[in-house]
Amino acid sequence: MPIMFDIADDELQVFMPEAEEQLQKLEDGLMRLERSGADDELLQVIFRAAHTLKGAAGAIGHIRMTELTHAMETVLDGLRKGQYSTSPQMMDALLGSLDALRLLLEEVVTHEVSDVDHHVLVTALEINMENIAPEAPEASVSVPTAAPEPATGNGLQVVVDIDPASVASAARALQIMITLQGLGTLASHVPDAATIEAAKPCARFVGQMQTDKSPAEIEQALAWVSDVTRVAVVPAGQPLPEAAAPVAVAAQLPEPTPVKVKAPEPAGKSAAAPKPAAGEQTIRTTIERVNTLMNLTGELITDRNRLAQLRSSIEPKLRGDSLYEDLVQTTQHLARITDQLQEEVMRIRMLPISTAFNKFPRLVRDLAKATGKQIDLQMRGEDTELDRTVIEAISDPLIHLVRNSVDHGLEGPEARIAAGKSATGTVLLTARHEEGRIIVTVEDDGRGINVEAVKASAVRKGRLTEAEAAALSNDEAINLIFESGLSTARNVSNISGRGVGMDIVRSNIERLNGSIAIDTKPGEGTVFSVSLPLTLAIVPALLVKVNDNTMAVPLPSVVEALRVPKEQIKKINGRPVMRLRERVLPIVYLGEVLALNGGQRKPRAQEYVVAVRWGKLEMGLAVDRLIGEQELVIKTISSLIGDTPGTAGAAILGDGRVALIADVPGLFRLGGA
Amino acid sequence: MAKILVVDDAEFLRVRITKMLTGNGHEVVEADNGAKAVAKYRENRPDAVLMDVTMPEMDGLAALKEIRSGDPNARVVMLTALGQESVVLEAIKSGARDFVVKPFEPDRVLAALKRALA
Repeated sequence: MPIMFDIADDELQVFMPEAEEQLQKLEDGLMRLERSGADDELLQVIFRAAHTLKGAAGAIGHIRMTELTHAMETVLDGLRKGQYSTSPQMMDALLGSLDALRLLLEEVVTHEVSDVDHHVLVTALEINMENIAPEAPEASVSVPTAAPEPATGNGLQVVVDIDPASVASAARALQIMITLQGLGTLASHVPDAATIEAAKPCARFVGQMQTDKSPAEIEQALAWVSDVTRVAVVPAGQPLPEAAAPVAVAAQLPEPTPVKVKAPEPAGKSAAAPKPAAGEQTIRTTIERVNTLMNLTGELITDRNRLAQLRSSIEPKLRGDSLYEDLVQTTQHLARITDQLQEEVMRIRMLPISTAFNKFPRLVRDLAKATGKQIDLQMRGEDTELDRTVIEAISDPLIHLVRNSVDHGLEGPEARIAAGKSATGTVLLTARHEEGRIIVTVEDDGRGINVEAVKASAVRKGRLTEAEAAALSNDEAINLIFESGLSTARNVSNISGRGVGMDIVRSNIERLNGSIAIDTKPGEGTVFSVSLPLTLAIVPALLVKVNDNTMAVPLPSVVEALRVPKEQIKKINGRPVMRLRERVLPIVYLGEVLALNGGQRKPRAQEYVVAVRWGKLEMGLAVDRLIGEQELVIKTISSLIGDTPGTAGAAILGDGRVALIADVPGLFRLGGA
Repeated sequence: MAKILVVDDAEFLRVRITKMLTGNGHEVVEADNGAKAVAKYRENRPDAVLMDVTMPEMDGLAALKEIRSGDPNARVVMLTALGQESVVLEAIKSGARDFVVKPFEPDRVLAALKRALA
């Protein structure tokens, strides 16, 4: 049966990101708490996150989530007040509850009841608070009393009943006490001030007072106080009527009139009050809107490129004409402005990579527990920004790489000590910008990749013959771990053996126009370096002509473009190759491998070859002509024509025509290089 | 129709309270922590304040005291949660008109405001 909450669709857009943000704060805080111990500020932050979640859950009527956050908050409150300190059991209970909160939060969107037994979790949390002395009453704060007035007027007895269901009846009693003190002299009352301050529940307040106000005025004044069910005011000494006058309910009160508040200049004291945090002003908008902006900017860039082309084609006719010079200046200005615009729009979509990294402390903690390894996770460059689409896309591959480092890279404490290392292994995550791309590394100081084991595995699985394996260079052999089904782990663990292999990791990264490289040293550790574009929306590319088609080769893959006399292209084992400096570069004829229309290609006196790189491999793409570099706004074409091997989408060019974007990794596979 | 300053660090709750108040003809000014609330109070002179207790920067209790020291007539209704009784007691001693315990029914907030404005 679907579960419904008291929340409208438009509210959901605020509610979910905010709740997720608080969950993340809670997780970050709990991880820090476990790692570095409690400090006051940290506990405040964690407590507030739990508290805010409770408030939000309560507001939408999510009872289980409210109860669970309340139990968490209570445990955290005790920590905050120093009533007890953390224990592994408590951390497990808190983290387990956090996981459950994520599931409970999902219910708000899915309307499906999740498999969370919050009672078990609440009990697990409450156990931590047992055997703890009840909270000492807080230091009494003196109650501000009205200046003692001369005891004039009539002696009255005031009896006020407070709703037994009131959740803060002592506070209501305090409100009653303060109200009565403002109306005359409150000689005595039950409960007394000390009892009220101890926050003892209170169902009835009885006061003796001297006042010149009439009983009706006092009743009227007490009607201010919420949760008051009845008020009786009788002359002192007179017996109470059994049923006191019902309190005027709020609805019967006069309409609120706009209150003109005098605006006294802030006194010196408040002028010295802390200034509001000088935070930047922010607005919240939808991703769709930013994406639309991005698309429109893309269109603008396309038009700008078109305009630049038009300008250069009319240049021979109009050079020297002052109107033409104006046109040149205007198009140049437009080019600069659109560049800036694009940069700014991109920046809106940028997020720090910490939004992807912040999962890892928890992940590594759990992995450490599951494997019995001691792991120190370090992160650097968390502030490095990149497009949120890239962050979303890179998140899963990174998780896999980290799991892999923990599972296959790091040794257990004993093995580490035996190898002369510290018992605790380190996993280091870094991010940095480099030449307009982002480099993310996952590094461990574990055992390194055993190249011979990788080769043996490939032979055992029939991928390679012994001879082929022996002929592989070290780099080539290490890259075998990216082949599907070549894991060397003896047992499939539930850490990295989840049916996702390094082959999937690599193809996911490559789908983003990224690349992954491995650097490993036996006994010292392994570094996986992932290079990614800052955005998926725009790619700088080299445009080439193939048969009658324009193709774009993403610049990050391009090593260089060459004009090669045809006699320099030789055949080895029937396959065309050329020598590029000291290396042999296999050649692939792009038109043939993509089966582009235009018929059999004629032999030419010279070939244009674009040398491209994939990981540590290189090959040459033979094309008919080089056109030039252009920034392309990518459109996915798979929905139109299905996935075409060797292509990774399409872009509209300045002249309005469509260019296919070459999928370099795909071409390596097609070309068999 | 009155001008109300709504102070809560949770945007969702601000959105919800604002919706409820504007739906009842009130004008709303928002702040997301106590320090901003003090500044917004001075700037906008609202007829009443609805203020959360647990907030970063400056909590609701400190903001209440600050606002009341600048304007002894300030009408502040605290939004509190279960288990915050000692805070509520202190808030009332510090001059809060009333308090509403979360999770609240819209009617309770409106009624408390009505009493505070009367």
